[in-house]
Amino acid sequence: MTQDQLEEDGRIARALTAHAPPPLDAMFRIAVLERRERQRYRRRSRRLLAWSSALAALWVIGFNLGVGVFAAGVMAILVASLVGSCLVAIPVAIQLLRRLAHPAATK
Amino acid sequence: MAEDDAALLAAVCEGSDSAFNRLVDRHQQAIRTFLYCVAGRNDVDDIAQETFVAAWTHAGTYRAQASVRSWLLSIAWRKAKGAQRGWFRRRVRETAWAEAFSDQTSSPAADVRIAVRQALDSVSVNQRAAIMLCLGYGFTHSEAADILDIPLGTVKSHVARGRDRLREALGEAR
Repeated sequence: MTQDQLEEDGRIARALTAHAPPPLDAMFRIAVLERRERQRYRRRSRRLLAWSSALAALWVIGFNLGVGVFAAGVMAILVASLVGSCLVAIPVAIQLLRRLAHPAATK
Repeated sequence: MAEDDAALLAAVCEGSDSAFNRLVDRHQQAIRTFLYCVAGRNDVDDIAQETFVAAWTHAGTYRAQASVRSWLLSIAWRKAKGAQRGWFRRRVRETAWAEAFSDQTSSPAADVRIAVRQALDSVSVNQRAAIMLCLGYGFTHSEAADILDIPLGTVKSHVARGRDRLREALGEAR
């Protein structure tokens, strides 16, 4: 590559990055955090709704099986807790296995 | 820098907000400039924000074979491709705006920027992205191919053709 071509490549690179935003942009960072929190809130709401529905469904099933109001409630809570523990434990176990498989990625 | 980035991402994986803030500060300029080049100014911040939120959510999927910046750029590219359908309509307005802008400005530097912008607007999105990564940021062809998830040969031809197009544009802008 000649000197002229190198200079021209430099001009192209400068022109391509001429519209760059400032290197530090607090407003952008705040917007990212806000969006992340909105996403978290939506996820929590959906999860809460799912758990509530599951608990209600379990209670109705238990009640219909004739185990009584209190026993159906206890059964629903126990089953929901068991499923919840599994759901929490599985991703943690997967993350641990990934770390063991790719230790460099987490160093 | 690359090692620091990997450490930051590992901290993000553990849920560290300060590491996430540093990661955003460190890479927002590159991500937004890339998106400005491929997506046009209307969608830039929206897609860039989505990119960082996705990085937060999927920090555990990062593999250290590529740099964190490459990884973020590949997320940004996928997000941008997802939003591509809406671009076409907006890009028509964009071009009109750029043309109106070109009438108002006359400095040599602005002329070069506008010429390059117009040359970029005349090529495909894939070609634009390859040009930006290789000529704007100095990524190698194979790194760009990994980021864009397209064959290496395609990146080489995109960059070669794009370089010729941009050189022509720069020649005309002189």
